[in-house]
Order: sequence, then C-alpha cells, then structure tokens
Amino acid sequence: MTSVTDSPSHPSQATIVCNQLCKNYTSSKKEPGLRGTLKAFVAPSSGDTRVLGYEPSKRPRDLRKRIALVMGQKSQLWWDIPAFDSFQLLRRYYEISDRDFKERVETLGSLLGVSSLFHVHLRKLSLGERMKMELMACLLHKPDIIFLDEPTIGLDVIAQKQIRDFFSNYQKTFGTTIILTSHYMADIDALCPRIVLVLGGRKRFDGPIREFERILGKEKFVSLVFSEPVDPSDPIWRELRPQWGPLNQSVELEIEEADLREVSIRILSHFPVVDYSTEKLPIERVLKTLLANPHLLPE
Amino acid sequence: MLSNELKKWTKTISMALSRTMTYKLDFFLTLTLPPLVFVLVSYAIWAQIFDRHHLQSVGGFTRDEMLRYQCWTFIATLLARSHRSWNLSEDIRFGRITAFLLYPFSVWSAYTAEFIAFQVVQLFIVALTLSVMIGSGLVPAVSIDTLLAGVCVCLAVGFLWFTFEFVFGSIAFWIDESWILRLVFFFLTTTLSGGFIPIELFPQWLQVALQYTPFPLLTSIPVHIFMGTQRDTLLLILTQVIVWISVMALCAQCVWHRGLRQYTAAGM
Repeated sequence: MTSVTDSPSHPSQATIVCNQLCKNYTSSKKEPGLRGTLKAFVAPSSGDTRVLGYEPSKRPRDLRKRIALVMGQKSQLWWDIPAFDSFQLLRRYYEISDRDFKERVETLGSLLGVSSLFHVHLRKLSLGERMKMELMACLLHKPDIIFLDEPTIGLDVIAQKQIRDFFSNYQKTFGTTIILTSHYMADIDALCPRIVLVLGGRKRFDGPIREFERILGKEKFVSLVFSEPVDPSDPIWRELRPQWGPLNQSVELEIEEADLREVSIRILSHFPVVDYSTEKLPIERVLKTLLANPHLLPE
Repeated sequence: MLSNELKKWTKTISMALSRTMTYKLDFFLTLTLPPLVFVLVSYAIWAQIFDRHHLQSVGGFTRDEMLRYQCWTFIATLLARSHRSWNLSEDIRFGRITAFLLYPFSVWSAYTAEFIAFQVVQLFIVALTLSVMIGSGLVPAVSIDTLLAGVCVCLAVGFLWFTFEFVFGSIAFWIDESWILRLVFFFLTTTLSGGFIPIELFPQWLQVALQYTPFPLLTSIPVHIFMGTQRDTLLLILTQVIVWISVMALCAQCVWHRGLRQYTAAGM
C-alpha cells in the first residue's frame, strides 16, 4: 500500500508514504518486492525501477548519498559504542561538513530530546531512545528519500506518537519523501494522507485515505454493550454484519451512514443498551475485508 | 575526493579499534585461548610421541624442531588467520549488510577497514606472546630480519585468508545455514596448510599437489620462515601471496555481485 502526496513546501516533489500491511513481499527469494527494490539493493525480477532518476539495483553512489533507511527491528548504529561515535563515522561516509554536522546534531538532538544521551553506549539506551538515535543517524545527511521500516515497532504509545509527530513535522518542514512500512494503522492515519493499494502486483486503489476508508460504502462502525445477553437471531441484526462478543452481551455493527439514526433508535428502544459508541469503519477492517475479498475493489 | 575516501577508511579503522577494545578481556580470551589450548595440546602430544618412542626425528623434524613448529604455528595463526570475515555469512543471512549496502562506502571496504584494525591489535598480541615465548625458552630468539620477514609474510597471508573467507562467506547468499560448511572449510584448510601437523609428514604426492595451491602459504611457509628453514626467497613467497590475493579478490568481487542479485534483506 502506497500513499502519495504533494509536499506543501516543495510542490513539485512527491512525497511517498508507502505502507505494507500484511504481505511481506521481500520474504520471498523469487519475488523481491517494491519496497526492497526501491531500497536500492534488490534487483527487480522484471521491469525497471527509477529512484531520483537512478537505477537503484545498480546502487549508484550518488543515489546512496540521497537516501536513508531506518529499520525498527535492526539497529544500524554500533551497539558497543556511544551513538555520537556512530554519527561521526556516518559524517565521514556522507561527507558532511563540520558546520553542517554540528548544526544538524544540535537541531535533531533537541527536536528528539536525546541530546543528553549522545555519549551513552547504545546498548544502555531504552528501545525508544535507540530508535530516536537511529532516526538522527538517518537524517544527518539530509536525505531526499527516507525509507522507514516499522519505525514504531515495540515502542510504547508515547514514543510511537513522538516518532510519528516528528516525521510529520519533519516532512512538512523539509518536504522529504518518506516511504513507510508499518503494521500499525495509527502510523498510516498519522502519516499517510493518500494511499495506493497494490494487490497481486497491480495497483488497485489510488486516492485519499478518507476515500479508502469509504471504499466499502459509507458505513459507520457501531459498538454496543448490553446489560444482559440478547438474541442474535433477531431479524434486526441481519443486514448489519454483526460481530458478537462473549455471551452475546456486546456487538459491533456496520451501519450505513444514512440509516444510522433510524437503526440506532430501533436498537436502543428494543434492547437493554448500556453503552453505545460510533466511529468510521477502521482502516484495518477495511483493509482486512479487501484483502479477503479483492473483487470488492474497483477495477 | 581522495582525502574524503581516506577519511572514511581511517574513521572506519578507528571505530573498529574502539569496538574491538570495548570488551578487552573477552576479546583477548576469544582471540588467544582457542589457539593457545590447541598449541599446548599439540606440544604435549608431540613431546610424548618423541619421548615414549625415543624417536630422533619425525618427517625430518627433531623433537625440539617439532615443538618449536607448534609454537610458531600459534604465532602465525594469530596473524595470518584472523577470521575477520568469518561472520559475513551471518551478516548476509540476518540482513545485517543492508545498512552498508545503502551507505556510500562499500561493504568490501568496510570489512577490509575492520580487518586492518583487527590486524593492528593482533600485532600487539603477537608481540606480547612472542616476548613470553622467547623469555620462557619455548622458542629461541630470532634475528630481526627473520622476525620482520615472518611478520611481513603473515600479514600478507592474513589478507589472503581474509579474501578466502570473504568468498566462502558469500555462499550465504545461496545457502541459508552455512555454519557446518564453514567449519569443514576451516578444518580442511588448517590441515592442508600444515596447521595441525607439518606438511612434511603428508604423503609425497600430496606434498607435491599442495605446492600448486595457496594452502602452504597459510601456515607452513610462515612457520618455516620464523624457524629459518624456508628454502624459497621472500620475494618469491610474497609474489605467490599477491597472485593468490588477486585471484581471490577477483573471485570475491564476482561472487559478491552475483550474490547480491539473490539478496532479499531478510528480516526487513
């Protein structure tokens, strides 16, 4: 799934936020995926790929200087030394001037709130702190494209939000292209204004995230809790795709937006409802349904 | 441009040095204990063989020469077979080379820079070990010329072994678990290089065949240089090493580029 949006600060530059939700394309040796191919080291099984005008599988040095990769599950920084020493090495690799290096380290360190941890051995940092250091390392050379691979995996909710907010602000400020891979829907909601869904190697959807959420119809997701078990065979539930909870004392329904008021009144007057909540159909559920029923997607 | 490249190399080397020295004791023990135990066992076995059977010589080696051979094998192994690229297979298998594939500094350069750092540390360890060995009378003192020639050949052979392991480590692009293969490769090369017993004890046909391979260069020849029993000139030996390094470096490049086409960066 790929979301594409124009950068506000650089209108001519596309910002790609790519999200892979269910299928690990790169896990197959025979079928290197879009993500891996773009990451500049996997040769495409067919066709060709261009990143910033370069052929990534040939790994031109100029391209490598303009991209960065952050992996949530793998540290690129050296475990046994302080992060700052790793930054110094990366500074040499990316040929960053002394002045730029100093300025970027100070700015990013203060934005991410890790300035005081630069000289602590990486192995002594928490997962969240390590991830922030990883982000710093990947941004030191001001890449044009950043590949984020599960950047929030394993982090607590506060750290997750900090990382999302950071990238959202960073993208708005610098217009950097970000390709994100994440299994967390919250990442998509926070970072992907536009989505491209690729299924079976074909683009099946390309549009704003709000349109994607309504791809299955203008339905609301309604949760109800009852004071006592209710009869699931009642005809009222028939068209509402109910998902029953334990002992039939709770249910989740999908109700057409236009019918929401009328159906809700009927349910509330017939059943002992003690809690009622409504929200748009979660993107996770939309995606799950579409992956199970690809025919629902427009051709 | 050249200056930037040089800075990348020197920084990688200095970083590798700091990382190597982070766990000083662990590093020192890992590096010295296995070959030290091996050499002590070999030393004891050969001493017993000579003493029990009252042998004057075995394969042209007297008792003292054989025991010295074992000690010099330890020194040569420390310098010439450092196993710095031993982990390449694991790095490929677990996708750890991914980051380096994206840095504007090649994987080969990074590994080589780390190898150089490692050899610097090894030189200090060898100097220390040799002082102890000479001081305790395990090996007789050697002339500076002999020592320099031996160390020089060992360092060149170290780089040859590094390229060997790099090529062999690259099989991880095709085979998921190559640990046992690498172990077999290690024992085979150690045996054929004279690391366990001197090549002079092998059958004649095998000794002749080995002359056309790089194996004797890995242990036997450096040991004979230290012992002052090497017949070939230093120039000839170094030429052989350089030729084999060129061949293996070429192989490494070919295998690496072919392997990269298979690479899927597992675990991303």
